[in-house]
Amino acid sequence: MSLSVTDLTKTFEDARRGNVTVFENLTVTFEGGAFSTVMGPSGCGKTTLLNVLAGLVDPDAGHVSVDGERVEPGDFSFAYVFQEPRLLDWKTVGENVAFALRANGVPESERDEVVASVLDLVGLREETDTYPLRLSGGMRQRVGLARALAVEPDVLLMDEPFSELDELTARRLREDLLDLWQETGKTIVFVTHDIGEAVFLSDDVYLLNERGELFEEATVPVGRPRTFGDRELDEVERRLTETFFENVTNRV
Amino acid sequence: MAPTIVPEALPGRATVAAKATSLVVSVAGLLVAWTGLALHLGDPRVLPTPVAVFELVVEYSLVGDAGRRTALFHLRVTLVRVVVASLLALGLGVALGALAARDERFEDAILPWIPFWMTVPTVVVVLVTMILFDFGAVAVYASAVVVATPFCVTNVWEGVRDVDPELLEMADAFGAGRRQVWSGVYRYHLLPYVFSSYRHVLGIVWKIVVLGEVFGLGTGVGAMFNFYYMLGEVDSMLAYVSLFVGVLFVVEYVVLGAVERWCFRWRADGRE
Repeated sequence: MSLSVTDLTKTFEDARRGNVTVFENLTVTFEGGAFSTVMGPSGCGKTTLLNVLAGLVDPDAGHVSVDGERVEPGDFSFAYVFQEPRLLDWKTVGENVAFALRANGVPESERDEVVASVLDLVGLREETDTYPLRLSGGMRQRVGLARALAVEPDVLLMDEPFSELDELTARRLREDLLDLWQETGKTIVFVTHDIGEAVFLSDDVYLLNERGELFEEATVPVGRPRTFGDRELDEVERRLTETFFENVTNRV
Repeated sequence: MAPTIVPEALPGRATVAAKATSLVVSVAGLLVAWTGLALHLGDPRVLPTPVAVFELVVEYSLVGDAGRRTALFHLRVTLVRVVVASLLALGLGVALGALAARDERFEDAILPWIPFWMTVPTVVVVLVTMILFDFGAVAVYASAVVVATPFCVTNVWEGVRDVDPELLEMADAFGAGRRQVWSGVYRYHLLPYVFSSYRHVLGIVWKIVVLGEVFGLGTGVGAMFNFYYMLGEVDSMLAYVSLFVGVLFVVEYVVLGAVERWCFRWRADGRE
């Protein structure tokens, strides 16, 4: 399922700086079934883009399309994985996943089965009855991923989900995410400020500058499965890093 | 603005054991000091020993007092009044606090009154309601609601406003309806605020109920304080105080403690 925004304009009111324009006439298309990553410096509007797609933030102008058909923002099959797992600490791992299922209108009688199968997918079946505060950061992020997968979305919106984890855990989760993506064939729109992560994960990388302007759409022509430290990947990363610093000058 | 009790983290098991030890030591210390002072004064009509008071506690609990009712009857009457009055105040406080947090016009209408209600002396409220409600039990409930509700309102109001907006955004992103957000997010988020409110309300309501009983009711621990005060029997008054304090301990540490541990079981033994 391809997803696009057309002529997106968004301005926020800021008490100190007055009106801040995040995007002006941004147009971008994410191919169906592809792993697409939006890369840019902090504050360039990456999260805002995901929030507009999810219908959490209203755009001032522009529209969202799915497979070329115009839709209301958020009015398509998607799930969101946040930077912090945003779990309900007072609910067990299983209940957290079931929360998303209930929100999606899945009948109670079917929830246990779905919970068990997605927790199997992320390797947390044994923690079904555990409270999130007793899990490590990586495990909590897996629960966030399981919660998103449970609602069987066509599109996964992922906002820097591994940025708060240590590198070892993040690497393992990236590999697991790629496995899950290849198993399920979902469209993934991933946001990061880490070029290495973007290149390792993605089919397509979209580079934004600090003004929220799209200045590069790159394809990563490296086959899968990929391995960390692969020379071809390193070469793509080096080239994109050069392009990035040529175009992004401020606040980096 | 009135001060608000910030919910505290629950103590771990080791801390609970240490607290229990401190409690036992301080109670023992009090009894020793009491015995020493009583023996020093040497007049049971001024200050009887703890042993003499304890004998009276047993006698009043089993045999019954001058009114042919046992102390346990009066305790039960007071306890029921306290539970009813505190739950009334808490329920009303939570409802009004939540409404105030959700509705700006209601917030503007109700919040300016709070500091005023919180500064009126409790004894004045009790006396006025006693006259208004003809010295009946309803007067006690009315006093409790008037005095204790405002604290709950501010606490819950701040609790609702303190909810993590990122959790609300998460619920929104998954399409959760208003009812699911209340039952899955707000209800649990507000529990610590409700607990700290209830502890405070209970503290106020015990005093109000006993005051009301002293001033105008014929039954309950307060009425017995008044009765034995009129007779000048310090030992009987102390017997009732001891029973009353015993019940307070049980309610605070056994009942509320157990409910709290169950409600916040998800917090204990965090691995990180």
